[in-house]
Amino acid sequence: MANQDLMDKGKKVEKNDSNLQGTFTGVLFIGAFIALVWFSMFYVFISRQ
Amino acid sequence: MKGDDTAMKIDMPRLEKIWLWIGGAMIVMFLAIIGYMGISMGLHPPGQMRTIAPEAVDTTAPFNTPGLVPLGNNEYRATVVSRVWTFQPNTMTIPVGATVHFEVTSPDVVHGLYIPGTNVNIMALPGRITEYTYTFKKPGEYLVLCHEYCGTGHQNMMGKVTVQ
Repeated sequence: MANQDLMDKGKKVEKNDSNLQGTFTGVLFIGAFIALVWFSMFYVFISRQ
Repeated sequence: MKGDDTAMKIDMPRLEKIWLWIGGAMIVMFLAIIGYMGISMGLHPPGQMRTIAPEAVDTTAPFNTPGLVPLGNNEYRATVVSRVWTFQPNTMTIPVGATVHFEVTSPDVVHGLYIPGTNVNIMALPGRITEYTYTFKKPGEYLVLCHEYCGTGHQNMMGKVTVQ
């Protein structure tokens, strides 16, 4: 019974993961944008040093 | 209890774990780069450790004689009084490659001393002496601006550094 519960939860996780694909892509885009802006600002600061 | 722990681990979606790790790693990376560069290059924000009585700025050395003082070895100390609505001194001329140690204060309200195109970005606070060191490597005329709104004449508060 417990094993069945775990298997059910495992299925639920798989379902969540497939639902989160778009969110994951969006998060990566935002992360890449933040990193790009950060390194741009850092470059400006260092080049003026 | 053990069962609860297992359930918690399973309930966390794998992709969510991944993006949390990526976000955490980015923060650690940014802080590590800033920390390493700060220590290896001596980078730090303008210091404001020294204090001065605002009403005594005009009678306290070195601010009673603001100006540019050569220290030798192409180094200068720029003692600047920011007041409504001018900088004293208003113009400075230095050779290319000169390292200038700014020390700035204000006898009245909060001002700023900003030189566009450089990292010179100093707050001039009454009661505090702000220090910052910068090396002018490129020749040219540099504008000096007050970047902190200080009253009706704020837009006229500007000076010039000539590097030749």
